[in-house]
Amino acid sequence: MSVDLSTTYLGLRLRNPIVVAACPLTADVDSLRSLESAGARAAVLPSLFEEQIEHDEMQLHELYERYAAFTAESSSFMPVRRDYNTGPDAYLRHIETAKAAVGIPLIASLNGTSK
Amino acid sequence: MGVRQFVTVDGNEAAAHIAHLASEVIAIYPITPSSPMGEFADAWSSAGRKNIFGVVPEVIEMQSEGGAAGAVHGALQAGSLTTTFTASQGLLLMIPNMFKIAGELTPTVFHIAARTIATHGLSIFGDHSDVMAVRGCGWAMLAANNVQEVHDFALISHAATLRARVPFLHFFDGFRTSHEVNKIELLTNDDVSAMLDADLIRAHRERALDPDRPVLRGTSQNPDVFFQSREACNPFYLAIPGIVQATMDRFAALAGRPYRLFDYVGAPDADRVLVLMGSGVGAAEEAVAKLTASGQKIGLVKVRLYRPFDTHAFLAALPSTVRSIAVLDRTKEPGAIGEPLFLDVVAALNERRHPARDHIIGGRYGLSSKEFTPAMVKAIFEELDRSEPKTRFTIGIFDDVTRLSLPWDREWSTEAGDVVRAVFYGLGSDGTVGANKNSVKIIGENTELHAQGYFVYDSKKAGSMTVSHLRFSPRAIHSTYLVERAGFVACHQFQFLEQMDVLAAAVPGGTFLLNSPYSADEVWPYLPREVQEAVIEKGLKFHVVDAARVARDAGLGNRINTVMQTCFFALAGVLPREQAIASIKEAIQYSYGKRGESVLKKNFDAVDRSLDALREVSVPREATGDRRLVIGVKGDVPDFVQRITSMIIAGQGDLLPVSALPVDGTFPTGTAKYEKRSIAHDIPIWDPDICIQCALCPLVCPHAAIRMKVFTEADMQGAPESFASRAWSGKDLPGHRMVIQVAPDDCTGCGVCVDVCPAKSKEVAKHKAINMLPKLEHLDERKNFEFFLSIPEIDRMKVNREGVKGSQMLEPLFEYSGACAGCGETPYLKLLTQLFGDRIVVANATGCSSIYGGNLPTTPWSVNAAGRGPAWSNSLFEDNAEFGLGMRLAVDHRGEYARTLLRELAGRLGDELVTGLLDAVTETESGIAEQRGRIDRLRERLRGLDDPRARVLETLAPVLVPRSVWIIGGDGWAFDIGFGGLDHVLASGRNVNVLVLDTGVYSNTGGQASKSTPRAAVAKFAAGGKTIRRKDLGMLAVAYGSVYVGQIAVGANPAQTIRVLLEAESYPGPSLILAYSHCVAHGIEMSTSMTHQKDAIRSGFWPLYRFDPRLAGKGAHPFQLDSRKPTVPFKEFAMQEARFAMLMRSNPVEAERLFDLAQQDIDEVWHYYEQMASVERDAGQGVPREQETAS
Repeated sequence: MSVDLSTTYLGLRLRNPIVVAACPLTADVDSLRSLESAGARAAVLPSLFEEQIEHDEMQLHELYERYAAFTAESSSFMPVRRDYNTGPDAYLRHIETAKAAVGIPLIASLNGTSK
Repeated sequence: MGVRQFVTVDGNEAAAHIAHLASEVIAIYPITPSSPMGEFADAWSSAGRKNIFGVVPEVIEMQSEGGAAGAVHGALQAGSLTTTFTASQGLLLMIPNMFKIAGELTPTVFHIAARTIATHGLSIFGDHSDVMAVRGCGWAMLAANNVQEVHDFALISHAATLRARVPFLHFFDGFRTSHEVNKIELLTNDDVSAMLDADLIRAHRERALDPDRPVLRGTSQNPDVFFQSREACNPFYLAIPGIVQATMDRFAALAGRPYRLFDYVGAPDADRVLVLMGSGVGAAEEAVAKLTASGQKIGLVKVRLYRPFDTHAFLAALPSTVRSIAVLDRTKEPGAIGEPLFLDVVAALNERRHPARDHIIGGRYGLSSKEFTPAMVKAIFEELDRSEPKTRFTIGIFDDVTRLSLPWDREWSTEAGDVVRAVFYGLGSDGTVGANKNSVKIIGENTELHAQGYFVYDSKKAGSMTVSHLRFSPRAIHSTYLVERAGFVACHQFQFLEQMDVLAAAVPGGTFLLNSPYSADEVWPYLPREVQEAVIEKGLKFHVVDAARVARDAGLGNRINTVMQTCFFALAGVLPREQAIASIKEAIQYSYGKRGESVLKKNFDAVDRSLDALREVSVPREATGDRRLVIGVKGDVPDFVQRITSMIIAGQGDLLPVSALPVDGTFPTGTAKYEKRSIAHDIPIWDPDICIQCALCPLVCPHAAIRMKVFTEADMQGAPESFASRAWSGKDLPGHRMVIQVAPDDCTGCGVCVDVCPAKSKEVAKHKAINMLPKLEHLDERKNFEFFLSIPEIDRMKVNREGVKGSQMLEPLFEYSGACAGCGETPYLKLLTQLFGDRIVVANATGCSSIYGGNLPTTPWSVNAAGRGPAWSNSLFEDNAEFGLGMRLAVDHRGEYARTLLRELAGRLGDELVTGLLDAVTETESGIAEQRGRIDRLRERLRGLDDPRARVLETLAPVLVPRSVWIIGGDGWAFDIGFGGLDHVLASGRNVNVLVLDTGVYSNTGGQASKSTPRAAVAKFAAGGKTIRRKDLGMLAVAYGSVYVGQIAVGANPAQTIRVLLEAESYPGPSLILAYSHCVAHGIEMSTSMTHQKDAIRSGFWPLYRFDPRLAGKGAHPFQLDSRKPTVPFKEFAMQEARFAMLMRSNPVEAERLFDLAQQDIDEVWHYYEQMASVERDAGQGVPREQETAS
């Protein structure tokens, strides 16, 4: 005799109500696969924080600016990379790989303020 | 592709742009001021930019310029279009290959940012001594005088060399042109293709070494045919002038800018003419224009093609009325009848019996970027006008020794009224230079105006000042001299007002913008009186803005550049306000767009807030108050420091006459203490109650700005009330007291000491035994430090220097260098001097350590109370190991000679004294002290001897206290350019100590990769992450078996560091120490850099070990691992550093691949070292037999 554990959550049809909350476990694709095979039927990805994006961007800016043009022999210390990904790209990539890796619904999470 | 645009670039970029398009292989080595050319080429190739053939040029960094020249030669011989970029010493290293390349009639262009060659001292600045030194190589030499010409002549060179088959040296003045930002018309790819003849390129390719049609080159020839072979190239040289002119004519038809081999400007009926080449032409042309406008019959010949020197074209350029000529050379050739260009002109005039041949004078100017102004040119024409002018002269200096210098009228100016001139004083790191470069770009690229920017830097790496000189004009700007009459002066850091005459360049009625923490109503009393007087007397419009607050409020921290730039545009009136704001935002978008939305938003926010914060100050009618400008050195200082050093510190070095400077480049040590730069905002303040007396803070301080002393109660006599101290807890010195004392005006505020302090308060959160607190609230520390210095140094014989505490009781003889705040190299040097400082001779390679160690005006290397201290010299980059070996040979020989004389004179000196001197044990402090005592007695006895040998022995006697030779440098030297010499020195078996301050990049020149750069690190020339693992230099040395090797990291294991220094020094053979040195190039937070070193060791990234040959033999294990098995994955360590983390962000796939390889490197090396630790090794004798008898 099997028990029907299916439910609906936020409009998503889930086979059981076990949903992994946002945490480092859902940041890793291998770990998501394990969670899926262990029976989790949905997962919330870790939040992408507005502060995180801002921090990364300002850190990159600081990296290039702090030691720029302070001595005649070196106008910079880091080669300039035009493809540095600040912002949400890494997160979007994670969603993409995660979606390809597991069949269960994934819920992304954003944390920020609107002005 | 078709339409040309105007861009604002500097000379280096203008040259590199063409070179990259026209080349297939580019082999380089960094050297100031040419390094940016190689960096541009590398960046463009990394980004996939193609040359005109549709292929991405291959760019490779070699181990030295010699290597680059070899690689270029090889690439040319194998049929590529190849180029390189260099200057100065680097160009000299290319000489042998240059002879070959020319001898083989191979087309290529070397682009040179012409720089001074090191003689009595090194200079990074510009003159022609390097290109003149290679004029015998048989290359064509083309001189570009400004940024547009650099761009144009780069193309003309690449085109002409193909037809001529003779290689071209294309040169332009280092810094004055290479680093000047100016508006130029950018040639298109089609332009480049049009100029480079496809048939000629094919011919070049078909001459390549190829097995399908093999040939032999580089033969060895004999007296029967060499001479004839050498003459066979004559027709090629004869054809060059015609080819170059034809190429210039083709270029003129294409781009509309005509050039001739020699271009004349001035009166068509001139009787006096000046001849020169390089950036000086800019100043000279302005002077000629102004003087001819007032009727003077003078002119100027601009030399473009210097070699071959075409006599016919030169004479044709002269008006037929010319009767006297002055030739200016920007080089010096001591011992020659005259400098090179002068002699060429003399020969040309004499061959054709020109009327001016008996009235030609030659002068030197502008060595090492010495200013060359229109006023100086006027003085030269006046000299030419005299009935008996000086036949040889100098201009720009005051020569009171051989009286060659001409005086000039400093007030005479050619600056035009419709040119906007602005000077900005900034702090290196506040973004002023970047903002000004952007301003030049904004105006140059958005308006019809021309724009010029030139930037002058301090030689310090912390708290350094930058001065930006900007001009905006309706005409092309070729004012190749600093702005001395500025309608706009901005001071971006309030404290500069007290340190220098910021308003000296301000013209009456001009504008003064000040970044001020005080409002417009409050600021006046805070200004030094001299500044107030200048504002009033010059009638300046005075504005203030609290840029620091605006930047902070906009979330930009200390970055005031955007704020100040916005205010500049608002006040200077070069662009209408709205257009200026829009352009600034566009420029921000362009510069910072890739960094992210928040960066853009915050900068836009700063722009918007700036104008609201800008306020005009209502200037009182009189100066008030008693704040004064304090320039130069205060107090009781040695004579040399007072007369000379002080002037240089005050920015008045230009006023020093020739007689003031040492004739041979010898300077006193111990001068950094007089600078008192006071750049720290916060300094470490000691809380004695919490201190556990571990002595880590003085150990790690890069600047010796926090120190420990252990002393007696009696020594406390006269201490100021504010002076803190504590009972010394060590059992070794009962009843003593100790202090941790900051030097408030020498500290850079790096915070490393506070970070390493392990002592935390149990009551107050985040309160340690030392805490960073505002200096201005702790000015008592000044008198505390003064008292601290007066406390006698502890008797070295009472100290056990083998531990951290003991070592830090000893006096440092390396203090207050100009290194970066938090520098990872300098703590090792300071420690070295604490252990052995009064008897070391240092051979220091070029690099950061030669700059913070030896860049005028002062040096951190110091002396003790007895007047002893490290003797230091920087020779070159490539020869440092050999230089140090030479010192060792000399010292050993002097010792041998001294001992021989002692034995000969033993009868008259006394056998007991002589035996004591010869058999002395000098490994201990007491042994050294006793030997010094014997030497004093020896000197007394020698004084009474009437024997020439006694005179010799008097001079040699001190060497009986052994000198410790230290060969110091960075990884750029040790792993790359100096490796051959280092290897030879390690093989020699002689008693030298090599200390490699390993930052893993060429730090001084801006972070180019070396063979010490670790895998996966991002660095210049490894922009995609270094794909090859780090060279294991330590193990290469271990392989000898006779070399002591140690790998250390003072932040991770200070005790092992000290042990290695002591063991290396005591080892009577070659020692090699690799010292982990963190650096700003690693992209880390410098204040936590020392504790961060622990992670380097925990991850196995930097294993600590020692190899002591003395332990070899008899089943012992000479190799000892001093760190534990790695416990932290590489990735965890690496992601704390931007040099690794950056790759993860931009190319995560490649980053993972390289990180995996890096982890494998660590695992593999650890496994290897573990095995090494159990290897029994008996390398036979560890030291050469000669050394056994020598000691």
